Amino acid sequence: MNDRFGTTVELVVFAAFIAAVFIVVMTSLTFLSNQCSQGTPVLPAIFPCFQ
Amino acid sequence: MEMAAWETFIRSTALHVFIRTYEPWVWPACETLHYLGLSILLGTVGLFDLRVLGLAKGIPIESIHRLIPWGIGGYVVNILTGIIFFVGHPDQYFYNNAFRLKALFMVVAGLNVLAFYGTSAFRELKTLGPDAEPPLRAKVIAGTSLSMWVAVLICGRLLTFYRPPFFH
Repeated sequence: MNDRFGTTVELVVFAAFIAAVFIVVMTSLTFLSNQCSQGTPVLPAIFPCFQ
Repeated sequence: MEMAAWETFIRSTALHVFIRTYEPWVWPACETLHYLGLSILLGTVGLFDLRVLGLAKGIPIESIHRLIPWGIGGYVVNILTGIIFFVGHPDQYFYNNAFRLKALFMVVAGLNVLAFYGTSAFRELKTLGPDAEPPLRAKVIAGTSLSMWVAVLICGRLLTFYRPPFFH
């Protein structure tokens, strides 16, 4: 029973971890898109605005 | 947008012409290999990272580390198929922030590998018993590795949604 509980906790933590990485990636890409629409690119050498 | 000199050069290569001529077969075949490569990479390196982070205690870390050459094989397959994708449609990757972010995560993952094998982190792990707690430094490296490869996977899937608003 304890083993099953432990595995469930591990799976929940892993799912939360994947969700967190997904949110970081999506937030970064949204930020990069927004900075171009506002005309204020932060790192134009690496992430330029493509017209 | 005007076509840059490097892109004109890539489009003049025999590899580009080959990919575009046989695209209905080359592209799906390479996509399939790319997915297999990433599955093998994450299935081995990711498993190793999870073990270092504390999952599946009882399995010696050294035993799981024997799978790493498979992960390297998957990585090589992905680099080769990735080159084919880039040469086939360079504009769709170069002018794409999801691709640039993916490349950035791959660079960090590469530096992380150097930190793991270039320092004493790996040597410390090899000497640990099956139930011993890995040192914090190894856990940080494993956590970074897992995060970077998952981020690379996500960015790869998101490439389609961040294509440039033009085709050359």
